[in-house]
Amino acid sequence: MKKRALLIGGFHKTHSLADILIERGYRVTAINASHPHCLELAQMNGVTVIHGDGTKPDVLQEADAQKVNLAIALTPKDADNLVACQLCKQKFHAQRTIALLNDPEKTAFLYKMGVDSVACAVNSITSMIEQQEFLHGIATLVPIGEGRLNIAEVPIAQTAPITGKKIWEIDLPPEVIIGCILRGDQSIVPRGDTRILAGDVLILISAGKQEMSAIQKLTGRS
Amino acid sequence: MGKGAYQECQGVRTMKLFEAQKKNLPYTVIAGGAGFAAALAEILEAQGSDVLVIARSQEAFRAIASSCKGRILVGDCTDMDMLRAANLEKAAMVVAATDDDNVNLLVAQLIKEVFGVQHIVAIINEPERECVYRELSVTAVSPVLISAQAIAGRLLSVQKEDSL
Repeated sequence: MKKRALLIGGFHKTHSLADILIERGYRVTAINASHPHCLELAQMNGVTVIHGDGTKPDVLQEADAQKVNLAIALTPKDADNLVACQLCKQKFHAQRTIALLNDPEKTAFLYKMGVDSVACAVNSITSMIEQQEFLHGIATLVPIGEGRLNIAEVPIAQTAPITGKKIWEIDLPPEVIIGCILRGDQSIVPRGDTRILAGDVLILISAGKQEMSAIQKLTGRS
Repeated sequence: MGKGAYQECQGVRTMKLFEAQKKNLPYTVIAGGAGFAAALAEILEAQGSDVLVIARSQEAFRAIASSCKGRILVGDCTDMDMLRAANLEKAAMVVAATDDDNVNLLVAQLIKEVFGVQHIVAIINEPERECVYRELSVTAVSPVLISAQAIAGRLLSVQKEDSL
């Protein structure tokens, strides 16, 4: 049986998410309070559209919310998204609920109230900017396998804490390895006793989101 | 909201709260400034409660609750800073009484979970949402149901009188 996803509110976000979910084999139902938006969403292939307020139990019933695999609340109001998720979870036993959240201060509260995943744009953008700022001029990061694996290019300055050290002397997380060292026009496959020199560029392969802490450790920058 | 007005408001509240505690008046916070909240504020005040109303607009609230002398905190009642300023831990009761059911549901749960207030009443305009509360010890009151029941009760007594 096909997995089912319920998208509550939202228009542009619902449109793009519906595309992605259909591609991944979901049967998608969208609930929208605006009639013109409903008409446009109904143009999409494979999307069932229900016109109404997705925070009302009878509208969710009509949208066949019973035991959906995924319910995503995308309205612009935090209160509506919380109530929609709680209804889906408690009354309709949705397997997984996701709520969009504007106010980052309420992130922990929403998790506490039983929302499985809280998507706070402010939080995500902040952490993206932090990552960008941190990496700017330090390293180039290439995500592989939907970000599960990262390959980073890390230049080593004279002042870096690992300059002059041998590879085996560097304490890296087990998920991180130095795959290659670029030195001038040479590329060196490192061994335990290879010494890191200033000006080297390390090619770092890391899994499990360990790249940031590893790069911090290697460059000494935070 | 101007910071000056807010601080002034807080100052007034602290002073009044002291007074209230001296007279042993119960402190009640009402989130919302629409018609229902205004009526409730006036009744509670007449009963001798110390009332604080969190409303979006001071002018709008004063216009519908002209006899209410209570203090007003101007702002969004779902805002954490606003709730922190309301001294909720001192409140004997908090009433979530905006005209938006979902906002009332959010505020009631927020106040219970984050601020630890015990006695919370949420106004629910559409009683079908009550199931969200079932797991929580938040009391939901539906003015629609209560009015309907009152009218139905009146009808019964009118019929009885007529049949006598």
